Amino acid sequence: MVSGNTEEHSEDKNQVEKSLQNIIRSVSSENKFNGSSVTGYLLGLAEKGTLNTHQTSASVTRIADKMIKLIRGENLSEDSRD
Amino acid sequence: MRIQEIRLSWFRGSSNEAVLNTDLKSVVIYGKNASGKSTFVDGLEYIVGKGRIRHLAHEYSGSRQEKAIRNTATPDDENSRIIIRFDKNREVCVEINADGVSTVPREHRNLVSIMQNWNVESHLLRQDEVARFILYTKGQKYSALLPLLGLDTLEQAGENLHQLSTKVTERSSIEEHKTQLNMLSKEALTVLESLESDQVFDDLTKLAAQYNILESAGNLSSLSESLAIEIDKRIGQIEPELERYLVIKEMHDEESLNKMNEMIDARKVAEKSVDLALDIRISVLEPAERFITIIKDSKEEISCPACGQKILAGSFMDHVKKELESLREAREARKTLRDKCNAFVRSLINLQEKAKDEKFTSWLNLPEQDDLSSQFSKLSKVAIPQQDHIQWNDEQIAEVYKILLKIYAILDKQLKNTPPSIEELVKHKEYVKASGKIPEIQKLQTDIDLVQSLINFLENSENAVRNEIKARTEKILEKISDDVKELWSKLHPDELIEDIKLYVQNDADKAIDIGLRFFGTDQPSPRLTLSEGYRNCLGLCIFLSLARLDKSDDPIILDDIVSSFDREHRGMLTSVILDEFEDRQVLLFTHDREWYSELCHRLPSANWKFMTLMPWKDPSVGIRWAESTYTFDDARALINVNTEACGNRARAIMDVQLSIIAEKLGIMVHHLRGDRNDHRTCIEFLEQIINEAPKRFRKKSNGTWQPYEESISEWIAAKALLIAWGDRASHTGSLVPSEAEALIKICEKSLDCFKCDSCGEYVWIANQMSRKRLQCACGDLQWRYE
Repeated sequence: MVSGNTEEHSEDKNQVEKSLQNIIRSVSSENKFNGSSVTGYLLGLAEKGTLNTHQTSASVTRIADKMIKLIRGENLSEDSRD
Repeated sequence: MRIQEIRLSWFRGSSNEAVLNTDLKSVVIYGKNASGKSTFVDGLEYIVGKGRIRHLAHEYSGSRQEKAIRNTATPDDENSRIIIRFDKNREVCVEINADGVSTVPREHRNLVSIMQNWNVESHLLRQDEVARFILYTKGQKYSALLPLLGLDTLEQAGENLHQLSTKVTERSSIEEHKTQLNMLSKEALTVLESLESDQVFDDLTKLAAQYNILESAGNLSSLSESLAIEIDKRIGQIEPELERYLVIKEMHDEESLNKMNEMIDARKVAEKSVDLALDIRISVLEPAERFITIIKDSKEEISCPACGQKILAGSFMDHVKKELESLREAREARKTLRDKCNAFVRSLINLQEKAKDEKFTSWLNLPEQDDLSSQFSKLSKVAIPQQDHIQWNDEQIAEVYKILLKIYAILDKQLKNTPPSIEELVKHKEYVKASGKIPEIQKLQTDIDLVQSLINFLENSENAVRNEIKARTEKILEKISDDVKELWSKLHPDELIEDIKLYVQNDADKAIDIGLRFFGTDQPSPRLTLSEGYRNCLGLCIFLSLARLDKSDDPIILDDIVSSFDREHRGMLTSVILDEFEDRQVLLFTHDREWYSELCHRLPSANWKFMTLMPWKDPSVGIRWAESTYTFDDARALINVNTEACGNRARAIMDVQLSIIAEKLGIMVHHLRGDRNDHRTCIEFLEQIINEAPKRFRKKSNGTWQPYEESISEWIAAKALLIAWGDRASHTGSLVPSEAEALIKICEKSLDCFKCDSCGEYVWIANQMSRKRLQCACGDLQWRYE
């Protein structure tokens, strides 16, 4: 039963992550957002579950910095290529 | 998952050991007030609530609630302990030391985290929290439901997107860039007609031809640089006596007088708004401090002490935001003043420096320029505030203003006499300088557009996530509302409280409320019209609907939830629990003896276990279980304390038991007028049962059906003792402990007679009315109507 519950829980999580990815794709295309690298990065965060779990202020800052670099077309340093 | 056992040690009311063993069944636990029922619920909540028990969260319980968790008689070298055993031999063990620090063995942590995923709103309901969901604010209802609806992760995503857009705004410095762009554009447009680079490039190309610059420079920057060099070269060739016009032009462009006017205006605005802001700050923040203390204790709508508006705790933040806006405006005015002061001081220093330029002093020192010379002399003696330029006083301002007024009047007059050739050179120089800012303006604009598109993308994504949450919430709330309506109609058939529904508020963010129709009138909240009893009943319906929504098979814990229910509704609730939660394990705690007796008689012992707690004595003795499932231990506890009361208590228990049994068996009694009909004694029922039993009560023995005569003898004996000792009014002597003990024993024995020796079920558990009889589960005991 433990594993049953865990599976059910992770199924729910997968569903949320898929919903999030659909939302991101749809917003990106509807708004003709000219930042495919940012869209891709955000999709990756949704896939990994980073987007729907609590993030510390430091990690939000790290993600924001990477997004800014991506939109500006700047080179990513080694530590921000996750 | 099902609980097999809750084992407590020195936790709350338990001493060395208190064990609730369910046999993996649902259980009904009866105990008088303070017998220790809730200690078991507390043990569960301690684990589910990650070490926090809600009703113990107060100033006296300590930071880890250690002062309330530990039994006061706990030996110094003992820890408090909670062990929960589940089916499939799984268990969790939590040890809590005297400081409230808890430890869980590594191998139990996975199960602990599964328990911590149990949602309190759908797993655990206590007496004083039956109406808790109704009493929540709209925002609290939203927060409480979100995890149950499986939308808390989406909500977290919305929050993360919100944080990201805020952080991108901050980290990209987009606001500063916008200010910088605005300033650069404004400066350039004082000289250029347009910021369109093509047009500026065309104009520069024409100007280059005028200065015989033939190179067809590839871009605006290099062309602008070439022109600047050429113009500076020509300025260097101006005759010395005309050079002063260049300096005068630069002095004029410093616009010290205008900047001083701007500073004076900014000073007025800042003074006004700072005074106002201070008043607001004091009048809002002081009462707000008191207000926060109040809203901790009350969820009611209250008056904001700052302005008197009726306001909800959730709306308070909006209110504070508005006041903060005023403070921010004041801060902005202060910043503007500082900027204007700095700009003015810089221009003043530049003006003084330029006045020392040789090209200018040779002219200034001429006798006819005495007036201007004396003004510059006065200006050089002005003490400019060094540390904080904002600290100009009125006298300084008046003095400097008077000087600058005179200086600029003379400079303006001189400027009008500037030779056209010099004027044109200066004009071209300004144009080239302004056009040189175009690449920087374009770069800033491109960056702002990019970052803004990212912010918009994040904001739109957040809005889309929130819309998704809202749409899903509405859909699930519809289902919960249907369930609540169904349960409510079972508990309150034929009552004109209808159309109960949970709904998302359209005009508020993150808000859910409960609406209903009360005797034909739509109501936005049950708190407007429903009585406390009905509110509790509705709260219970919502809890049970949420429990039904929760597809897990985790246990449901109901702790003394029927205190405000009358007998009829308690009976209906029993049916609901039987019908709706057959597959779930229910741990039901009650101090209501009558309801407990009814549950014992109605719920099948194949799925349910019945347990009674003895009255609690002291912390060192702790929680004790009674041997019998009847509630006679309440009477037994009085044997040596108040023997007379003990006899009466035993009789009262029998009154309840036999009224339920008579109802089950369909025993006919004479009608009595008024309340007397509802307050019959056990004696009346026993008499009637004894009369009917010889022809109805049959027991299978050695394959043949026999009248169950032993039971009739027991009832006759019980009746005799109940008449003699069970009613204080019926005997004159004092009841002694041995008589009281005998009375209780005969009562317990007489009730056991209704149970089958083989299957252990009561004779009425299987209704065979089509065959005109009631019988136990195995059929060996029957009550026949033929």
